[in-house]
Amino acid sequence: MNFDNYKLSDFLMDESFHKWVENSNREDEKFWASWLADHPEKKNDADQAKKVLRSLSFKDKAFSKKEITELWDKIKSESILEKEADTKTVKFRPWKYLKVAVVIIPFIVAAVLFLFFRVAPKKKQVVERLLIEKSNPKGEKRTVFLSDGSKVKLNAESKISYLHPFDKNQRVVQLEGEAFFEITPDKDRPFIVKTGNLETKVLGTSFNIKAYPDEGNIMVAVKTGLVSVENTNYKLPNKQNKSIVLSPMEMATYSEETNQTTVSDYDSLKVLAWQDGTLYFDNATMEKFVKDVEKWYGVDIIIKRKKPILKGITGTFKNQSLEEILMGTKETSEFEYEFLSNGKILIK
Amino acid sequence: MGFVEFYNAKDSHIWDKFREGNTSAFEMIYERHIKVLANYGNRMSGDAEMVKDAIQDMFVGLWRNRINLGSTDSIKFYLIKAFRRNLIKKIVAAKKSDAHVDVHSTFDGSFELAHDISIIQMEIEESKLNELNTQLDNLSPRQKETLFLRFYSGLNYTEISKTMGIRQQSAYNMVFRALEILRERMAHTFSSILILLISFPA
Repeated sequence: MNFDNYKLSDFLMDESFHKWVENSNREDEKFWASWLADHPEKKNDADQAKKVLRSLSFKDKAFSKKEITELWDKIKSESILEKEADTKTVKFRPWKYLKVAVVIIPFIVAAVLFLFFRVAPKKKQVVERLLIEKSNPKGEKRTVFLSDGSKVKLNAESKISYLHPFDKNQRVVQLEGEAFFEITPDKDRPFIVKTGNLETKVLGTSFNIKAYPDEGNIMVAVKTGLVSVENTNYKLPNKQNKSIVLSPMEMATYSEETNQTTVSDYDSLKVLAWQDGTLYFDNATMEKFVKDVEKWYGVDIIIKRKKPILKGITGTFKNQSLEEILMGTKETSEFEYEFLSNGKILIK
Repeated sequence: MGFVEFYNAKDSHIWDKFREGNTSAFEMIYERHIKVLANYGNRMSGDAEMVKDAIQDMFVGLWRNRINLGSTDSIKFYLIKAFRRNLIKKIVAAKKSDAHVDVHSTFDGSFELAHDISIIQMEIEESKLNELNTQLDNLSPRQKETLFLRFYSGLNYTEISKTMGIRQQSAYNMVFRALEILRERMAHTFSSILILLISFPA
């Protein structure tokens, strides 16, 4: 490589020259230092190039240390900590036994083979399946990846449980709380979410289910694809279960009180906003506001007011702190708040 | 942590151990590369949650698929390529559906011409520096991305071309043009300072 004809722009583009300027590579440093000593006439160009390269730098746009640690915890729980599932699955290999049988007792091979193939299906059934439970306490959200590649965004105070591995002809999970599902299409294995009396079934779509035990309703909102919702506690006269098919932008609301399911449109901002860190209120009562805030931030709030708050609380809060939300709503909703010494919050 | 043994290890060694199922090696891979991945992702998309998801998705997939992976000399290049693919898939998917995802259609270079160094060593005024920053900002998203991959991530032109799916010559040209702009503007600045110095002897 002949550097004798190097102009400024050549220095600028040379990768090894970059490394020397950055002081990142011992060999490059040695090379350029000595080359420049031998070619003093190039010093000017090289210096200029150095200045240009040195001046180009980047702001740091990574995450906070806390976020980096939290992200690792999530990765760990989805990968390393699920190691047991792999090792417990029994891989059935008849060939190992076949080799032994052939070598030692050839005339029994046929009988042995017959036995193994008869026993094989049973052995598979004895494969250990783990019950996996992923739950979030108040104030925490996380994403869970299932073995078929489906993604479940779990909201605060929510729990999802399933057997691993999935059945051969269906994928079943149980949900308590709220989650947004993005299900990998598999037309041979429908994906079923069980929430109390309601069963939601899809082949491969994305949808949101809200089924907190302390609310009287279960809501299933569809973002893409088709979703079938069935009330397993309701038998039609012909003893079949009643099921409803939902299309995108439709939502089914099941009421535990009436055991009825109704279908309506839904405001995607209101229903799906929680996933990207947005807390959304639309004319909410004080009770709902407090309950949602408690869940989101994992705090306890006590309300001690003589006057009830008549105005509904409306607002969109994206990635804001608890203080910011309280400060933002107290003026319009006319309340005061106080952080107590025992960690709880008082609203008066 | 359990990965003290990997502090000074070479990429190929850490990678091999990780493929064998060593969890400390896996963690070391994360520790060593999370910063560059986060910086890359946050420049491609303004949606932090999506970026985190893409990182999580990729690492979980890596672990589950480790048995099928080949060896490598540059983990950084491997991760950047896989991460870019994963994140772009998510960005495209989000754009299709009417989602509340904050996606930039540009690449946020976040260049920051090193103020202290420039001002002291090169005697460039603050205002000129800001001008240069604006120039860099006005580059096309792809140009900014190549600059980022070359100078922040330290990928060579072959790696950049494989990551972005462009010809090596194109990557080279984009970096060249960007640096030319920088150099021209700086030379401009140098000469004007020179004139000033000549006209007003200290």
